[in-house]
Amino acid sequence: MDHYFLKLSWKNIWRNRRRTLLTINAIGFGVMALVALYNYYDGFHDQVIQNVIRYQSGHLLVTAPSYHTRMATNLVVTDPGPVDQWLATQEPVKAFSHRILVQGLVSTAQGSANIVFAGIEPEREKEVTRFAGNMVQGSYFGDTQQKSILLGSELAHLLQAEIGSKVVALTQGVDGSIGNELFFVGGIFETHSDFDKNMAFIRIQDARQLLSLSESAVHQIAIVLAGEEYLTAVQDQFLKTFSHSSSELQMLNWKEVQKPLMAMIELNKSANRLLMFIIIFVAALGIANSILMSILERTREFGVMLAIGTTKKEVVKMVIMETLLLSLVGVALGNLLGALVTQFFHYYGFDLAWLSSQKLVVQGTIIQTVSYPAIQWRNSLLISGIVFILSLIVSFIPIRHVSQLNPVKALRAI
Amino acid sequence: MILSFQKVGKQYSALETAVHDVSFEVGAGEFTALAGPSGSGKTTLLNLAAGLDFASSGRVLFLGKDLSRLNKVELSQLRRDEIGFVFQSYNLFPVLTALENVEYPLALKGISPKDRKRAALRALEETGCGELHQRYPAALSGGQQQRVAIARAIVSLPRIVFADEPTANLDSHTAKKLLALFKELNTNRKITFLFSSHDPLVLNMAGRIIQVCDGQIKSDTQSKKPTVVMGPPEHSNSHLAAIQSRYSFGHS
Repeated sequence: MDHYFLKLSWKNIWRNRRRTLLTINAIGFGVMALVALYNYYDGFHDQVIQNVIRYQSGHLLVTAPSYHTRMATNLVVTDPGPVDQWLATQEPVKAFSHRILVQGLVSTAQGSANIVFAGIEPEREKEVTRFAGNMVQGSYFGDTQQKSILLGSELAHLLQAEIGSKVVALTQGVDGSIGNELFFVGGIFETHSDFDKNMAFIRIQDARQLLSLSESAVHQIAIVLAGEEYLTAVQDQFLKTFSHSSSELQMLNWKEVQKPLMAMIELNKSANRLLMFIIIFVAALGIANSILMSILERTREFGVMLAIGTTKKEVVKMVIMETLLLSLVGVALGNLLGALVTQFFHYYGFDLAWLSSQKLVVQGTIIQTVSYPAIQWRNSLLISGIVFILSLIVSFIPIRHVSQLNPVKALRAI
Repeated sequence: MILSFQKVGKQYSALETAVHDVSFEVGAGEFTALAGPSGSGKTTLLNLAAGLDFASSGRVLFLGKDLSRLNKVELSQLRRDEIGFVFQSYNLFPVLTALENVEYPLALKGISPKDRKRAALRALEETGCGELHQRYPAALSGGQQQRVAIARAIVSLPRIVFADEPTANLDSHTAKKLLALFKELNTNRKITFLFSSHDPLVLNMAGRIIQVCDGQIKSDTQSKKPTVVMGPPEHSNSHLAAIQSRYSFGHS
């Protein structure tokens, strides 16, 4: 068959212009909605992941084995030097920072709270996480003369602490002793997340002192890469390099650290896939209906075709071609509109907040519901492919009808 | 011999026998009519001859081949290569232009678009519709549509054309012109025609009339009088003799 039959199929689908337009619009609208929704969710998931990476774990974490599950203060990397040297030579590594994390009591004369003290290297941490950009009062470890502490806005409010206020940190050291230190509030940050009420930042050397840890010990080395794509390569390279000391070191990627988040994203994607199948199935039924009606209307024509030498296989091919053409037009329209909608929201943002009165919190981080989706061709390809496949599957009924036509009876059809 | 019916019977059910013990032959170049009233079995005989339907008893031989022994694809191939069809109600494809309709059998044979268009235009000119090739069937009169249908039937140089009541939907003037065209194609192109009709105009022009009644042949007579062309052809036939050699495809 050459373009003659393609032309014939094309002309056939336009026999009943109104019906064809309705079918195409149904497919087009479904595909547009799915393409735009998938692009939105991709943008949203990406934003969630970036938030978690840039406020918490980074792309990779180096810790002592089992630290991540037990969070015990004595599980430390005693000598991070070799790791630091190795990280400095790795091209994909954009930044890294040491951390000490310890749970303890923070108190002022007005109140107290159980929080996590994060001992950080201020300059390096700035490259890894975004807390430095969230200061609403004071400065980010600007005063180097005294023991400075940064409090979250809600915590500061609870403790009635202001810039310069004295706060006492109390915790248990790794040697079993009680560690307590006096700090001065150097800054107050606001992230619109749980961090604002249950976290405080101090310098890493102050944290070591509080815990009675050795001078170089760290709980975490948080690493940010130039891109997500380097994750596996860096992790593999790390394993090769430090296999001799693997009993003391462990490298986890953010997916391993943030398993609940990944589970939420996967659940979200599964729900989207189900929605996609339902929408496409309904659109495909529209195509099957359109093709079936068109076939029933021209039974006599099929009889003529068979009489003048067309094989049933060729007639079936023509019906399949009509199905695919109808799908193609709908899919093309849907993708075009989907791309336009995506591009519009890429510039102006799309906020799903109006759907819910609750703030969306994942792993302690409030997720921004405004997404700036980008056109993702893989979404368009996936959705288009499924439209074609489902259309062909549901067109089985009209195709079967054609393949069972008796030419003599078909010629007698009105 | 193109077609041979040998004691052919066709029974649709225990109570419905369409044809019974029919035997006749159609030779090359004949202009034969199956005559008889409606329901006499004419169309059934044409369907059996074209392999669209199968005999319940006896044999139908086409070019010596027993049609009941051919599979569906071989039958389609046979119809595509050796048979042309003209129907009572024209049966052109409404979404295609006259030219595209005539191109259809050639497209099935895989003829290139250029050769296909050239041959289809010639066939349309031959049937007096060259000027109408861009029109859709809805924009053509009944006579014009039947001429286009004839062009479609002859364009792939079939050995035989089956015409089922080709004049039934036409007025007598148009029917006469059309019959003149059939006769012209029979005489000049040596195309064999087998009609089913009860139209006196057709029977008057047929070289042989096979009278069918209640599914049986009642008579088979050769016309003794010379054929009278009952209307002037509305187009020149000067190119008809040359057309076979000009077509660069199909059998000769």
